[in-house]
Amino acid sequence: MSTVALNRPARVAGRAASVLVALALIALAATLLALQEQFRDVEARVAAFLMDPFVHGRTAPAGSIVWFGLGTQQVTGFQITTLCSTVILVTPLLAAAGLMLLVRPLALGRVLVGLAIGTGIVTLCNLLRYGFAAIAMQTWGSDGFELVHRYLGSLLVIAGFIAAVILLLRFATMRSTPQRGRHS
Amino acid sequence: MTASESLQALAFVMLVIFLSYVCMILVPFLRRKRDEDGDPAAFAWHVFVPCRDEEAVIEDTLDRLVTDFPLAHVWIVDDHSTDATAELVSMRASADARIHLVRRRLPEARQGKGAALNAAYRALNGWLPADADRDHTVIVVVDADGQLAPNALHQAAGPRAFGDPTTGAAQAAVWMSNRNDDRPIPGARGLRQWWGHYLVRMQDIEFRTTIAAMQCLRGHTLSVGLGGNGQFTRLATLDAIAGAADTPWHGSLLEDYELGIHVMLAGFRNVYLHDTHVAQEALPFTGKLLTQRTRWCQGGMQCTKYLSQIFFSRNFTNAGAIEAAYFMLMPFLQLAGTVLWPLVFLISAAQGAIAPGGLETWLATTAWVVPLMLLTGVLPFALWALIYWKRDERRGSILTALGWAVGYWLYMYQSYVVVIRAFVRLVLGRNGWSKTKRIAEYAPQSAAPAAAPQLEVVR
Repeated sequence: MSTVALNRPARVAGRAASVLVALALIALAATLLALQEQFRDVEARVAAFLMDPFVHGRTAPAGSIVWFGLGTQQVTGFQITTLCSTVILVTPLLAAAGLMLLVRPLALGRVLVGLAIGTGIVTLCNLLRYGFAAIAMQTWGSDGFELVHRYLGSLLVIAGFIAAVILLLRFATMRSTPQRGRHS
Repeated sequence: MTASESLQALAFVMLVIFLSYVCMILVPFLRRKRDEDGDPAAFAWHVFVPCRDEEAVIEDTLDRLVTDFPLAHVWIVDDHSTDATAELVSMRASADARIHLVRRRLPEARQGKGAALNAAYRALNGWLPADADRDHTVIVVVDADGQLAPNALHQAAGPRAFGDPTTGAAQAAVWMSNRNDDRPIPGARGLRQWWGHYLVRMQDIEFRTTIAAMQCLRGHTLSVGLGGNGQFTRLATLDAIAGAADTPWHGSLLEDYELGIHVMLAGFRNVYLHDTHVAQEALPFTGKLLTQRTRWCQGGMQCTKYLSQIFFSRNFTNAGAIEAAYFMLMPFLQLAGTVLWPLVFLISAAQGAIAPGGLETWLATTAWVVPLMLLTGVLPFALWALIYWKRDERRGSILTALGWAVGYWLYMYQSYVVVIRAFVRLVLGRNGWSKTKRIAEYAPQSAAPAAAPQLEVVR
């Protein structure tokens, strides 16, 4: 029995696992979109928790709104809208990873590592954007909030998203060793 | 999520994918190192020049090829010209054993450039001895107005190109030969001449920066695309493709890119040669330019039929398959963009109009988008012109560079017209195209005195 014959069942099993994971990732992306309201509530809770040590007063979530400055003279809340939510950033990464796994026999582990790093980067960037916006609001008022939320925050998120896409692709396509027809 | 939010989210994701792609092509382009030369004498070189009604340029092209490349044989494929192209070449061929004329007549002729190149391939096979070393024979495709740089064969023979036995094909960089011609439209004046000059400059920027950068990325993903001019292919690779798919060149409107796909599917590498080039005429006419680009775009769309083969091929790298898929799907994404971007704007404006304060308040509150648009919608195009000015054609002051940058950003909007036209033609099944005329053919009679006496001699 040849090596190829011995490896074939393992390869088929590996491919089947990749396809299953791919379908799961695509399903997860669709689920996130469908449940984005609930996701935003969770996101508000996480954002409130993480912002708490860095802003004046206490923070508290209420639905998709993050309140900060509680216990001080200035209590402010900002709502995490659908377009501001991390869902918009994570969903395309999940779908892209799933689609790539479906169409090419990529190394599953590497794709998942790239996806984890990419997802981590966009989540961190968006949470930083929330945090900076709250700090700017308390420090410079609504002008500071506008500047950070709209300009710097948007740039941070776009840069993070670009980095995530590139890293996902980089990890997913690493160690691709083409076989070269008659020259292989 | 509302429909409006969905559209805005989709637009944002498409923007980020585009910006990611720009970053991915920019970095390898800026960091690339010069390729080493090789010894052209290690190979046999055959230059194929497909021609149809090329009397205006063919003699100059022949002169350049036989002078600059004394090792090469030149095969002119006359595709049933109605002018004196065949006669001019025939005279030259009778005086120089390195010049060959492949004559095609109707009804076989005029079946496209791919068919003409296949005819040259058959003629070469008939001419070569049976024991020819086909691994060390390279076919070069040059347009009738193409000006191959004198170092082209040295670069093509280099260790990264045909010096590497896994290399099946190579593509030289493309420059515009009339880029510094202040009067690119014969006989035109004023604004028309200025516009023609602008279009020519923009095409030079496009080929020498943006397209070159895409090719540099493909050098890493091993998915370099072949163009119709300055295209090199190992004869043994063409044999392998012909063995698997009847002929080396096929029927897509983008037969050159299609050949590149076949080379990779057959298990060979395509490489990009940025340190040599082929110069060709840029089109100074809006209508002709849009027609040419529509043909290319439609051809690219036709190549999507290879997507499944690419995805299942073990000869494509994973990165190469993804890059090729993105390239082929790009026209369709752009098509979606032609609907998406205006729709997002209109919905946003409509929402502003019905909100408290009306349009005036909406305009005031959305003004923050403008700098972001400049950064994400203008800079990714404009930066190529700045790179071009700094690295390739440092002419005039920084104001010239800034003018080119704005001009290049605006020039890129032609792609929206092109992609819509290409899609409509694709849906309607319209595949016929007339050949693009050379600029010299637009010259007033008095402006082309050199051609006339020579034609009389032939006739």
